[in-house]
Amino acid sequence: MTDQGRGVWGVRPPGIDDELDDAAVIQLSRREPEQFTLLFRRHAPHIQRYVARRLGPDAADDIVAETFLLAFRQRDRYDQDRPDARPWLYGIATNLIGRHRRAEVRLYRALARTGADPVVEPFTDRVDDRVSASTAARRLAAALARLSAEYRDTLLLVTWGDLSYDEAATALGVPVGTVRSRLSRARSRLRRTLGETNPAALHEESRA
Amino acid sequence: MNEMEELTRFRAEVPDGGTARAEEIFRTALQKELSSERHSAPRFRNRLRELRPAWRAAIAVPLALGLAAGVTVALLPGTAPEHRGGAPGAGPLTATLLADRAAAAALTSPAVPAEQWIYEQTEHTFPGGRPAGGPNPSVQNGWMTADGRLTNGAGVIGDVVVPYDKLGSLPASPAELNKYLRSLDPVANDDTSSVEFSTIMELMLMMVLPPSLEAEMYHALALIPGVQVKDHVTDIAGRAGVAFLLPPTKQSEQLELILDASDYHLLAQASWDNPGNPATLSETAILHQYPVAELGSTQPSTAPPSAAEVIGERIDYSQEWTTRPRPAEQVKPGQWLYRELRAGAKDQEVWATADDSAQAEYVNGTLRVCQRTDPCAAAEQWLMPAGPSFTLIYPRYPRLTPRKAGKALPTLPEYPRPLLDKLNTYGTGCANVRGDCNAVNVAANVLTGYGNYPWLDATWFLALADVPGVTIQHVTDQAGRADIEFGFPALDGVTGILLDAGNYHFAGYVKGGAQTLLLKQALVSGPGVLPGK
Repeated sequence: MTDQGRGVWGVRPPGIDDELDDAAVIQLSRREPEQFTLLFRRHAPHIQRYVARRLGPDAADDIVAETFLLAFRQRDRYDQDRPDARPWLYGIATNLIGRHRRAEVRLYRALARTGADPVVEPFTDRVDDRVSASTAARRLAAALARLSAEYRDTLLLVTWGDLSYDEAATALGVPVGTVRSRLSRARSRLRRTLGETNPAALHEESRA
Repeated sequence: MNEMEELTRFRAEVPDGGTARAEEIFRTALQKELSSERHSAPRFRNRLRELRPAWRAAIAVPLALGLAAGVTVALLPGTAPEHRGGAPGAGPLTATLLADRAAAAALTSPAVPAEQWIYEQTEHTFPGGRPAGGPNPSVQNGWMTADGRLTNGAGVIGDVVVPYDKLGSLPASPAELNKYLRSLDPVANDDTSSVEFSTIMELMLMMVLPPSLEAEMYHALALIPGVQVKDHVTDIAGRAGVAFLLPPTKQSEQLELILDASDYHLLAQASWDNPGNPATLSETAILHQYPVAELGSTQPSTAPPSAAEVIGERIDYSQEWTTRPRPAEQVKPGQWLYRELRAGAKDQEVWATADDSAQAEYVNGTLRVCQRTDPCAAAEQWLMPAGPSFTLIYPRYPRLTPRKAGKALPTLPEYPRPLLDKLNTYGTGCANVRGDCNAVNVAANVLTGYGNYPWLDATWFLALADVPGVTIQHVTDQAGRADIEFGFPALDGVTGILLDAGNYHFAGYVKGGAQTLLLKQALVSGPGVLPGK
């Protein structure tokens, strides 16, 4: 390892975080493995939220940690032509979520059945046991529970992960056309659930 | 609101970040990894397990948590024949036989109107316990309309929305019914049995089905490939039952629909991730379910909803789906709003903050701004002269801080009659308090004077529907608009509240025989600023 006065966590000169794209950080981490933690700081907060929304905060801690560990182990195989590592990381996280598919579905079902959502409970002030989820949220939860895993992954990578269609295709390892068709069918399912008797949205501020 | 917006809003309470624990786990494991990276190919997952043996148990294998509820299930090996509550001489209880009995029982129950409120008390288990430590199982009281469109803590919400008025056109032959239910699922799913079974299960619990259709649903259940009968079931409420059962598949947990063992009415639905392991049971048992006169009532009543209640329910539905802003988008108390009002033949432009703590208008070409705390306040005619504070009606969101035990925010009562009683405690100058006079005045004040409209909880309208002597009329107001009028028999103050007949937005009120109409309302950047500027 060439030495420029580091070797301990985070002793890289400040500013590196802004200068290097993900691919460069990953390349650097091949020689200086500890630099991989830059990638964690960059992307873990968003991935954490994505996973927590699907499985709850406790499970998310573990899955996020494992995502970056698996990524670290695969860093030699990272495609250096991709400056943004998000699709890669979201893909790994999504695979890990897949191992908890039934748990995920159970959480959606619990919300649909009871209106109480164990996933968001830790983040709310509510002290009583009263139901607060809207009917729409409960219907949505039931619909998510019924989507097949592939459709749910695609839909949630795009909406909650903020990935583009291309990025979602990379994350899932499928052609972008597949992402499009899955999304469109998943959306039609949600629309049916939420909208069949849903009057057109009114966004009037005035009654001119 | 479209489905993508709804999805974006879903669980939006979960904040970004919060990665401290994940980072700790990651760094510790990474350090271990680095120290041995060159020696072998370490197994990361095992390593991680060593680190925190409980990490998967928290969600995937909640064995250690156990369940308070004693769930005793006796699944007879090989579904050995057992006579239970059946007709004398009946053979083994088959799915077909159970369907026949359940259908016969369903046909004896009365039909109810789609907009009838139903009170429901249910008991739920949460598989693996609730992370936030709530009771498990928990008992929940709630209300729903028979068509399942409106719910307040009740009803199993299903994802296949068959509008109630279309239920009558569903195929009556069980096989055709199953085919139809399958067709509701646009996503390719080769596990047709679980789609059919769970669709029926959801339809039966998300609404009160017309008796004839409920009967057909039971027949359809019996035709689903793979369906079994499970005898000697006890639901989480401890009641003896028999169940339709669909064993687990790759796509689905084991699904059960539990009926009363003696009279075959619906008791509960259950799903087992890991059949036989109570920690993986997810069950909803219906303890009580019967028609009531209104939201919030637990007194059985077969009286159909009044015209005013039906309008209240429609407003509720309309708000749920179209107009309720996200909590974060709620108007802040200090937000300025422009209003164009008409009283008599006179149009008036008024600016006011959302909480009506300040008002402004042009007097002889000069903008006059007055705070409630200013000396000018005494001479001002306030839009919101009396009633609950803005923050009591519109609690502040978001509430992202961790919960603090025992600290409840003050709120108004959430059911109609208690809400009316509370609103009656605000003095609005009623010399005669008959007919909930003060409450009606407060509602008109809030609608006119606070700037969060069109959002005012529909419970208020359900409450107004409960004012004795209330009437509903379709009227044309003095601005020529088609309105719905809630008419009140009050001797003092407001005798009518007007809502747009199309979208239920507030249109104005009637007091002393004269209309005050809201012609226009919009958010603006400050006093004197016109909309769109």
